[in-house]
Amino acid sequence: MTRGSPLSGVSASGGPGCHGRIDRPLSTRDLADPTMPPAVLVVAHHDAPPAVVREVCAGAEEQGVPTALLDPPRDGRLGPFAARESRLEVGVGIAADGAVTVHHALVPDAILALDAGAPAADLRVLGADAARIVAGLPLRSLRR
Amino acid sequence: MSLVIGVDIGNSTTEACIAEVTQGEVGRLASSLTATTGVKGTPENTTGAVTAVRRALEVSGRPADALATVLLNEATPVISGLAMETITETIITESTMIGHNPDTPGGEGLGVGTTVALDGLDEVEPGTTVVVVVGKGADFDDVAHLLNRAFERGVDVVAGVMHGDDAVLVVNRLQRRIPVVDEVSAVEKVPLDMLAAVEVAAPGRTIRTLSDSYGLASTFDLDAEQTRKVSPVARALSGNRSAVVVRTPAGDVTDRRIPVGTLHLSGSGRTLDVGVDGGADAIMEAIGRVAPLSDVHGEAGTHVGGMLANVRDTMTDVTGQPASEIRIRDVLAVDTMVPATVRGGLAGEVHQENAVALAAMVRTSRSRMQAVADALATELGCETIIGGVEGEVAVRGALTTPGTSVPIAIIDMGGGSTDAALLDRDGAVSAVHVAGAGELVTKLIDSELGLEDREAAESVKRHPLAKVESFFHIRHEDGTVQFFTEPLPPHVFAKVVTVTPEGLAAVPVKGSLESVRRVRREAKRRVFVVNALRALAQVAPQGSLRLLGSVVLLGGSALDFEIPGMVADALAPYGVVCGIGNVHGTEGPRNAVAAGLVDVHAGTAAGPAPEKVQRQAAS
Repeated sequence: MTRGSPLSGVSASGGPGCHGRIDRPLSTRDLADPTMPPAVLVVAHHDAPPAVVREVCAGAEEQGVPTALLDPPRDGRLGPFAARESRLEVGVGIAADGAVTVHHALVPDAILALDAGAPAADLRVLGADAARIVAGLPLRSLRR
Repeated sequence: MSLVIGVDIGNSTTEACIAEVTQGEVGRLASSLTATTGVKGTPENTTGAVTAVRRALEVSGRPADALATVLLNEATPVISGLAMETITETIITESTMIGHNPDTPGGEGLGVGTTVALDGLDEVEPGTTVVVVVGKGADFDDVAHLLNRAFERGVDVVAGVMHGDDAVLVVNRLQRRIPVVDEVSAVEKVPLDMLAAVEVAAPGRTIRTLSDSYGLASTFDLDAEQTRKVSPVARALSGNRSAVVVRTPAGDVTDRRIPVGTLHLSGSGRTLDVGVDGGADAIMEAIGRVAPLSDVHGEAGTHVGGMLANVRDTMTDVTGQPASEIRIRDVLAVDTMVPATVRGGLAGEVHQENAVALAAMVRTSRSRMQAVADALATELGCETIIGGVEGEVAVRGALTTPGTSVPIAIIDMGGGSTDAALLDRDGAVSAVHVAGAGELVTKLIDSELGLEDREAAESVKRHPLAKVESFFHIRHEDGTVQFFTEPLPPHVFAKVVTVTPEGLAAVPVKGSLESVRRVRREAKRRVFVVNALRALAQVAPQGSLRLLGSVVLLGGSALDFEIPGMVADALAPYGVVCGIGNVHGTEGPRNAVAAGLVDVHAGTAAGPAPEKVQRQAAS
């Protein structure tokens, strides 16, 4: 990682497919900043279960699309915020109870959502689907 | 002045045309369309006919008691049947190979070693070259940890085979990149302690070593005789992005031809047996040799035999004729490919197998139209007349299409059969029915795409395709892009869809738009184009298509977005003018018979010297 990157190295929960946590303060972050990685942004509440974050990131990593973790905003919904901030226009919000939504920056409603306590396999597929939106592949969660 | 309604009972639809007739002047008021109830030419048709009449009355705004005469066509039952036999199968013995394309295999390259289970990795001697086999439920972090520990002990793990979908995750966490094939659903069947090779190609490429006979020979150190034996393995793997081959003592891959019985054809004073597994060309060639076909029997206990018996039984039920008197007069055989699960496969591998689809048709001269006429007369309380044979009426109805002239031929492309009729300059009409039409097209699309969903297949047949490229735009099959202001639903995202009047419907296939389109067009070509030429050749003067003047396309399939163009293209080399019927310049390809019945009744039927039409009063 180059000097001046807003990335703080590999996060323990993100794995090698994850750019890690973006820790530059919100005020100085700029979408035009070339050091902002193209990634599916994952915005998790501070109390979100680490296992949920892990499965979501793993799902995207298996699809070969990088993820990055972003601190939650002071207020507002996590998923739409993540999607808006992502250079790939796709973001995942993980609530304190482990409920997950996948958003696209241009689509008001959540593309996909899972309630708290969803099985790990479903979370993995959801993460994969966030990546598949970027890749332009059909979503697996909605497969008949 | 009298209010007259012509009712055409077809194989799948019943059409009505209501008109006011005043001294040879026909004033058409309205037409209607409904589904035919029961088999054409049987008393069950009455319900549909009544519906069609009531609807036409409603549209024209006339009271039911104003109706003077109902005209019916002389319709003879045509019953068709469809069957499909898969004639090849691929069998893998002793779990010799895995040839499937997981979406995301891990690493790349070729790894050759002895298969060992993940649990057994700790007991492997350092310096040994192994291929690790990972069972169900293993977590990617644990797998990576165990593999890295094995590397550190000096065990040469060169490749992996996994149950779950996490090859990329595991490989990303390894000290060394090794090829890993994942999503192997029956991984527990991979034989352990055997020499195995795993190959994963780079993205966008296909494997080169395991899909090549000499590549396998070099990998497994085979002699010439052994190489000959494994060459089917190589062929079965070609085109894959990843593969696993395990060398077992008697492992083999075979391509077997399945004996599926014979067809017993009789015609022109002789009989001929042809094996269904010979394929469509052999069957059609045999049918040509005994033409005109007088009857066909299938071997009992086969799909085809069952289908032919079923067609015969249905006709017996419909007409009351004994089965022994019912003759199958036409058969259309079409070669097709069916995706089938490979027997002995470990990852649910699917192989395209050859199959033959057969459509058969039986027709009888014994019609029960009089019973329909009687029932209609009672129901509607008015005179009901059986006024004209359908081929004759249809061709005269078609002749009201602007720009047509005699000799004129029609092709009525229906659901079960394709019908052709010719009206020559002397006013004589000849007609023929051949097996195979819309239903067969649907069946071919269904099986070739592996949909197992008749409605989805029907949708693919009827509507153009598009690919959803983002949440806001689709690309139609001709390349044009259409934008939407509201986001498209996630379940169609990135899917191949059919563009229907009700919106976009996802086609449940993995393949590309181009492959779905090819299947759809080929199915239509092999049924409708082949049948149009086959049927026209039977009615054309001296069997020569060049002597036909105009060919008018009628029936539901004439409304299809591409079939008329395909048939017209096929007829163009014969100098034939071919187009979609437009009855009376307003009705389109529908209603030729219904409108024709009214014209015949009023004495205004188009064409040379209309033959005296028999009229039978029903009430």
